Amino acid sequence: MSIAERLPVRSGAGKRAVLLGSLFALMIVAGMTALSFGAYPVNLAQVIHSLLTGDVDRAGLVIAQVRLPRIVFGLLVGAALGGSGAALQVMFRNPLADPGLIGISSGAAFGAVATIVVGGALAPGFMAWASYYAVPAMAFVGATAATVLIVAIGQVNGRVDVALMLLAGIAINAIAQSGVGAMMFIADDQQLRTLTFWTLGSLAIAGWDALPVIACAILLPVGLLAVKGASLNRLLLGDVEAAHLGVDVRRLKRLVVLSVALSVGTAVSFAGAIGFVGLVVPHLLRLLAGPDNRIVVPGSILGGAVVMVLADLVARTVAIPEDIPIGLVLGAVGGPFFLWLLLARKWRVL
Amino acid sequence: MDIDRFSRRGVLAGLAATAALLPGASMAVQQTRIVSVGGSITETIYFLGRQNLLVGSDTTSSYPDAAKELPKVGYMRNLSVEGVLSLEPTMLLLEEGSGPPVALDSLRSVGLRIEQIADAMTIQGVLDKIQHVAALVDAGPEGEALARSVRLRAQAIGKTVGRVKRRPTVLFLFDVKDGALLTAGRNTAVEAIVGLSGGKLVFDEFEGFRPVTAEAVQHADPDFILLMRHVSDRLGGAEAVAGLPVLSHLRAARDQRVVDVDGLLLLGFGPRTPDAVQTLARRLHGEEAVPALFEPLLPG
Repeated sequence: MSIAERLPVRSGAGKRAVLLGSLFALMIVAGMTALSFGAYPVNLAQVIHSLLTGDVDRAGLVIAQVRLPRIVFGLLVGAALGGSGAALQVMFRNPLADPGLIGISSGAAFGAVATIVVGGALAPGFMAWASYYAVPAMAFVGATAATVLIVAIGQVNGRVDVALMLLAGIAINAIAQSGVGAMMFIADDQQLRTLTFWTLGSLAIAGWDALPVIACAILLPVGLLAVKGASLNRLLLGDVEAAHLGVDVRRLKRLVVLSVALSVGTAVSFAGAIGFVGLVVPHLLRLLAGPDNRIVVPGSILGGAVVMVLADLVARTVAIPEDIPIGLVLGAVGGPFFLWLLLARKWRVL
Repeated sequence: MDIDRFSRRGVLAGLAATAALLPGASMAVQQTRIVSVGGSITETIYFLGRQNLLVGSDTTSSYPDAAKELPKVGYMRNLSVEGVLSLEPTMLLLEEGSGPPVALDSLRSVGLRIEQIADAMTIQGVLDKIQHVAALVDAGPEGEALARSVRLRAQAIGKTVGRVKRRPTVLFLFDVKDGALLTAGRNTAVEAIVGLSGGKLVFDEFEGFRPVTAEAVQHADPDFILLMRHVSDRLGGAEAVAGLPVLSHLRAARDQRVVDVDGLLLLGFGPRTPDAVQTLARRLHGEEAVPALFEPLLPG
């Protein structure tokens, strides 16, 4: 079903509070569950006690240094992907819109792959200084460059022309992908394996030293999107209609694009190419709560965080002591679940 | 950024040291528990008779068969931090190139002892590797004996191979994808083992692993096609490899000169490397020119 088929319906403040409140509670529960289970067996109550009293054992270190940052990172990545997906689907009035459309994924992929393959040869000093953050840093540069280019092309007299932007996105994506292909061609065996793991996506890179930056770069733009639900509702009616209803369409579109670029660019740069969440979580919210963006956007932010943390929990625990790629879990568990939801709607079971 | 990370690590190392002094934590310190990453290191530990210390390994550790039964902490370049820690190791032995680096930093930050073993591409490198591992698992005399035996075997087969005049050319087939062949060039373990066996790579214009076209292969016209057994099995065995459209017109394919050898044996550069040299040399030069000098080295 397309979003445009459904006119924005205003839902009561009570329904909103209940839905978003329970999603928030669900996020806390998911986070605590994810914190309790992992390859290293721990008793969470004991660990919290040991962390508070100061005599930290290895279980405490595992929780504090390995598992907790990974879960926080998962929540942030999920929030960025979910919220951005919801906002972009509204802006493009297209149920299939995802951050890849404005060049983020392919730009980040080119930045990351180029760093893996030729970074050591071209800028050994930078690679040594940035260590394992070199790849995310350059992925972010790539994502930003691609997005800025596409947005610049897509602007006509200061107004965002969505159709033009979409086509520019296709062209830039093609260029970036051929760049990725060229890099893969000259990569050696070891580099090929490294970049395969990057493209599969993982939440394993998170450490406390990078998390404050990641949190700022994701929470600020995602928070801005969350409070723009009412304006996005009006935008769904059409640019002109939204303008008549008092929305500064030009500013709103610019805000959406920049917020998505910053939050998803950061998430994808650190976690690798993780798809699915940005596309499916907003639809999940619409299936459950209707099309009101005052629920869908903040709901997708919370829902994305829940989905991501639970998927990572499965990825970490299903093949102990190995980690399986999170993209695999999202596709294998999330895909059938979403399909079931669609069919249940169709047959009116739900 | 580096300074931050360093100080964080320092604090944590301190915490870990304090933790180790606590009475409850002393149990873990009593016995050595090793997670070994890299097929040749795991294999060396078995040859040294210290397999009772192993509590886990990675997916490249496929020899001996018992090593396959060990809990696996992932592929050597994609280790799982919690997976490693869940096995409660006291030491992590790593082959050069294991990672990712972020996982190793995390493991260090919780106070795990990590030892890197240098990669080898020569017999001397293998001997150094054996001595290094032996020192770490407290098997000095066993290490001496193993190194001596490996050295003698390598000398024996080296002498025989040295007497062979002709040096046949070898095409190494790393993989076949979409009709393109991925092959090995200079500065690879493949070049090293083929060289030790008295052959030479048919492509030596480039370093590392590169895709080459079917036409380039036709033009180079190698005497032998060499590949790892798991690749050959996936393609349906040596005969099926010779029948692949991109290879079937080659002299080597028509005469069924396709050699498949276990990947870890061929490229691992561990204690079994003289065996690999003997196996490969007998195929390259014929069983008359290179008689069987020794039985395969077996652990224990």
